[in-house]
Amino acid sequence: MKTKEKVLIIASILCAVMLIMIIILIAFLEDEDKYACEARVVYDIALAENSFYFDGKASVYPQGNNETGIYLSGVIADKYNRYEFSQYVTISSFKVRGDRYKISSHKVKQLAFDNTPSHLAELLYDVMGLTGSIQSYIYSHGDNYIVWGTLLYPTMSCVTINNRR
Amino acid sequence: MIYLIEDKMIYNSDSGDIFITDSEISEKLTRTENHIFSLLVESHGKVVGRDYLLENVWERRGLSSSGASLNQYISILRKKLIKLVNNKEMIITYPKEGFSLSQNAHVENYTEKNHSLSSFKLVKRASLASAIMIIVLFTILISCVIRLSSTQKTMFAQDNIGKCQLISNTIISKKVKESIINSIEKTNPNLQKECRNYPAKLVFHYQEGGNNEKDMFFVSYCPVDASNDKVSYCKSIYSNKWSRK
Repeated sequence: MKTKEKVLIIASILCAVMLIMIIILIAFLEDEDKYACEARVVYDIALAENSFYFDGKASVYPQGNNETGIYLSGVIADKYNRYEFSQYVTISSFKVRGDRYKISSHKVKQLAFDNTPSHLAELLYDVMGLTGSIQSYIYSHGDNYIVWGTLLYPTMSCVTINNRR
Repeated sequence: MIYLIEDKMIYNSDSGDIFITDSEISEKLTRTENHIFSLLVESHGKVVGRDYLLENVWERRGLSSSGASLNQYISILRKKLIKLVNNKEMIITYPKEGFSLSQNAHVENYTEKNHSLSSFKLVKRASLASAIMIIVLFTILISCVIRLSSTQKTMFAQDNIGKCQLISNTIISKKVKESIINSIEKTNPNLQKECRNYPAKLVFHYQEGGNNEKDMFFVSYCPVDASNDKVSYCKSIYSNKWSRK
């Protein structure tokens, strides 16, 4: 076999391997941002200025373009009253580095039967790290669950839907 | 066949084209001129007999030959070569013997040279491309490994409570373990009973404050489906309370 042919064969093989690796890497990286998951959460916050209790469910749906939709439903109570909570919040985030994310904006949509005062809902979002005041952080990846929250503390263990992980 | 003559004249013996590499001067040899010149170039430095030329150029093609015609064509060739390379002595006459392309004229096979040059360039370029590809592959591989290691990171798996695996951010002493169980049982009173019978993952994150500080803990109870070893659901509790100690 001539040198020219050998070189072309080696170059073709290398190109093919590189293409496969790039496809795997893209699929691998895309998978990271495509998980949808569900979590049952209870927040019991009893601080002087911010006290509330929330018992509910969170469903996380990645939407592409660095946007994620989170449906939160349940009951929330402050010192005096108990409210129905049913809201859909859309967050925009970008990866800071590693498993750290910065939430740049959040848009809240009140759904039917929701009667939670906005200041109380904002307290909940602040604790969950959805207002962007603290960077979000993924603490742990299990086989099909993710522990995530803020840099200071985890806020939920989220089980991926369809066993994608 | 392509020849490079005097380092500046390229001669294609198949087509009869001659051109100068550094100018736009070119010539097209007639069939007979080309045949004579190609025989002289092929036998560079050696005398090509008159009879050999007459036989190969004319007689084999069924044409009548004569010494005068041969002399005339040699004369035309000389004029064309003078025009191209300004060398009067390129074709040397050996009276009654024949003609030769001067031994002083530098002739090289341009086809072979060009081929070896292009092969060398190809190998060089392919080697460079291969090196770049290997670097890119290596980078991709490293990225995958980093990605994989980050996706597989876990908090410390510290201990077990029955069939439950306790995963925590802190090193757990016996005393702290009891404290954790107490904290978890406040939100899940049947924890110890459930952990005796069913596997689960218990994620625990704890921050203890000093006097007049707030205590914070996060606990997640995630039962595991024994058939596929996957978590079926998780109930997470985050508590942050002011405690005056």
